[in-house]
Amino acid sequence: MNTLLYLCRRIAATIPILVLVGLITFLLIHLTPGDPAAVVAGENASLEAIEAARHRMGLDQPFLLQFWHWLTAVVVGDLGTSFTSGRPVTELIFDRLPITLSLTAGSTLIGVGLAVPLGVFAAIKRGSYLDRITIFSTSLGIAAPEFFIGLLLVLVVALNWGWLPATGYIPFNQDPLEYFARLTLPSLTLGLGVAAELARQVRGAMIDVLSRDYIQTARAKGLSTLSIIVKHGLKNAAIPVVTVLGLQIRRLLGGAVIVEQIFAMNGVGSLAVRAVFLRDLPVLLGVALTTAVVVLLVNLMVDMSYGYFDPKVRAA
Amino acid sequence: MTIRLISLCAGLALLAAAPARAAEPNPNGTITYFDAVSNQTLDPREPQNNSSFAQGPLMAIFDSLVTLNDAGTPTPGLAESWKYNADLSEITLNLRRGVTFHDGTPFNAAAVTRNFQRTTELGLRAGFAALETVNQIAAVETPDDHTVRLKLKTPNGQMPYLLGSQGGMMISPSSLETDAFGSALKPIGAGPFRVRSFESNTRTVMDRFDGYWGGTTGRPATIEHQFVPDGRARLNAVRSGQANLALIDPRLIAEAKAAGFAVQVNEKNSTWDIYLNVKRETIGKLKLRQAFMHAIDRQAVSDALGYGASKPTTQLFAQSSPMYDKALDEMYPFDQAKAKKLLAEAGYPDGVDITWVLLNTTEYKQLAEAMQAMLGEVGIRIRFDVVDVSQYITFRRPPTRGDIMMARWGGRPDPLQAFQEVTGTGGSVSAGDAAVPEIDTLIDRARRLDPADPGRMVVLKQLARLTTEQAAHFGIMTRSNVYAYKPGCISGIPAYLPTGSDRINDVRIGLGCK
Repeated sequence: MNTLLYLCRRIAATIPILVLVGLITFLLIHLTPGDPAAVVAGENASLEAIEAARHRMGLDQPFLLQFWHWLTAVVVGDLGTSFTSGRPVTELIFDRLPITLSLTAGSTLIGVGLAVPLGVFAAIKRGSYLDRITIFSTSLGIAAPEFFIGLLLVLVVALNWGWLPATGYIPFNQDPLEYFARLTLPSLTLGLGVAAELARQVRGAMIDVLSRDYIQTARAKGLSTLSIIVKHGLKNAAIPVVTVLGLQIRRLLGGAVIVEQIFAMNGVGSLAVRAVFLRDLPVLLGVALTTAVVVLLVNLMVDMSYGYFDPKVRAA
Repeated sequence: MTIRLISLCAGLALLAAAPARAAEPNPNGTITYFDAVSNQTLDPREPQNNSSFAQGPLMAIFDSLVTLNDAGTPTPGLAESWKYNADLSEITLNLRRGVTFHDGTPFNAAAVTRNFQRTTELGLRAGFAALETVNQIAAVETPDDHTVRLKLKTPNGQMPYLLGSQGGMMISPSSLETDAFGSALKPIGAGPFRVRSFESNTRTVMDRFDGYWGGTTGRPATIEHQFVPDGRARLNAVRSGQANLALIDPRLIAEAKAAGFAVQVNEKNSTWDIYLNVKRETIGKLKLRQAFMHAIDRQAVSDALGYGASKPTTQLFAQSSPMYDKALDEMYPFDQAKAKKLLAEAGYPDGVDITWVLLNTTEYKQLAEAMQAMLGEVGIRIRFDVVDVSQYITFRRPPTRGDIMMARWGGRPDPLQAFQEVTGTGGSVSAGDAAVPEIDTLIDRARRLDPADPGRMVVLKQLARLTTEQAAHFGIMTRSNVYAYKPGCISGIPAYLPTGSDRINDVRIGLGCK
């Protein structure tokens, strides 16, 4: 019951945050020089055609009135209509969300899949060659920008070796094998950075946990090393790791913008980039709001996970 | 021994036959074309489709009343023939019989009337080219099912060109029963390809229309047109097999060739050009404009930044265009001493400050910065006013911004349109009046001539000379569409001069090519 109440409170607390996100995005777009009406009226449009477009788009109304219209529509689930394509923003985002979410999920899996074993082994074998290699490679992973890793992977794995496709996205229901093949390189591009950050976090947290008394007690009781690491070590080290993972997912959503360009994937990131250039206000607002919702949900899940990893938190 | 000899001969014969087989069109093939340009919608009247560079899929889906051939000459399309009356105030179109739209709706005079009526109803919501077409028409008469007579508001010889562009693309009347517009319109035309699926700004999948009046021989079963903004990603897609045809950036030509791909360079009526605001005191002076023209080393610029896909030019036309005049390209050789002298004669012995409205892309900046250095050497000090595409309009919307603006001119079907829009008073890209009133006079004279009249070309050539002499725009270098594909796999994309896009209507893929 307490959990449910906590969940309701947290969800309620997101509402003012989302309104604020909308207002700030609205304000920023209006402060940016440029004329959406000129874009909508098309190349070579007459000045009359541009003014007519401005009126149709409601851009000749006062700023606060425009924001109010948008906000009241959002409350009933209407994110508006794209200025340029004329399609509902919700449709545009939902068409592309699976691409970005697949990319984010793939990168997270790769990140966690690499980071946990690397971090754990580095912590267990602290000071060994494996530990040093881990520290060196994670420093490299943190320093290397995503666009560099992406281009390198395309050049070597796709073009030179021909192992995986260099571009594009195929939906899972169309061709599952091709779906995974096309997601691998972009997910690796983003996932390697996540793995680097996370591996360091896992290593640090594990070193801390493994030096605790209850681990010594567990060893004295004759528990197997695997059991000690998984049941007692990893679970107790998880809170800082999960916190960092939550932050990394926010980074992944931002990084997707660049990776989608490199791998020609038409996800939410490329939708946002185009909307910025074309001053497509409803699309930009829709993307900002959707991203904010995803980030808030991830934060909520991270907070909820603390209760699982540490019962003391749940009791509090 | 005999068997070995026979095997060897057979092997050699197979090897010799292989390229021929690859070049033979595959009617079951799919062309996956990665393009740098997208379509927001597939409505030819929608303003986003006014762009000269967004015409590829539209031309494949919607046949127009007049077909402009590769050189830009009006030839029969959905209208088998046309005839002006004596004073060019009426044009009568004889429509092709037996044509149907993709949905089976017959193409006839009623369909043509409905298309014009719809554009008129759209008014300012329609794109510039479509609106320009219906704005010429006072009334549409249909003496019979296969004849349409357009009564014009004023005598105008440009109609065959206008009917060969967006304004003349015919949409099935069944799509026009409601007031659907833009993304809501069902894109049903009478072209060689019908739409299977469309994702705005992403992908258009088109299947061959087997009922096409122009025949289907050799056409591929499917064309998938996909928008990929990043040039390197487009080339990578061809290299790793996700696409079999890509429009590539000129800077990647060498890389594509080194990777073993065929590279096709289609020079267009599209140029890098600088538009002027001649209402400014500085730019209004002929000698300053001429100094500007002499101060640019076009050859060096095109050598360095054209990557073999551009040629220096002072004109708005490709060298393959009937409008091209070699003498005009020789009018302003790179001559810094002469530029300085002209600048002094214009009243600026100590140099002059010019504000250049510049689009914030790498391509634009590289080109502009190269010229900024050259111009600075003769005393023309350039200050960039960097904008994005949504701010282009500020160059011509009062109060106008900047003295000059560089753009990638996409070309127009009618050479006269190019002069009207770039150098004429009230032109859609120029910011002020014509540099001299004689330009407007010649534009008006050409407008009153039938395209079939040889006298029209004479007037157009006069216009070309006058606008170059007056330096009414600053030509820099030509532009080309550059394609990469596996050798022998793709054919049928000749350089199409009327628009920035090439026609993909007749593109073919060879047997054995994926």
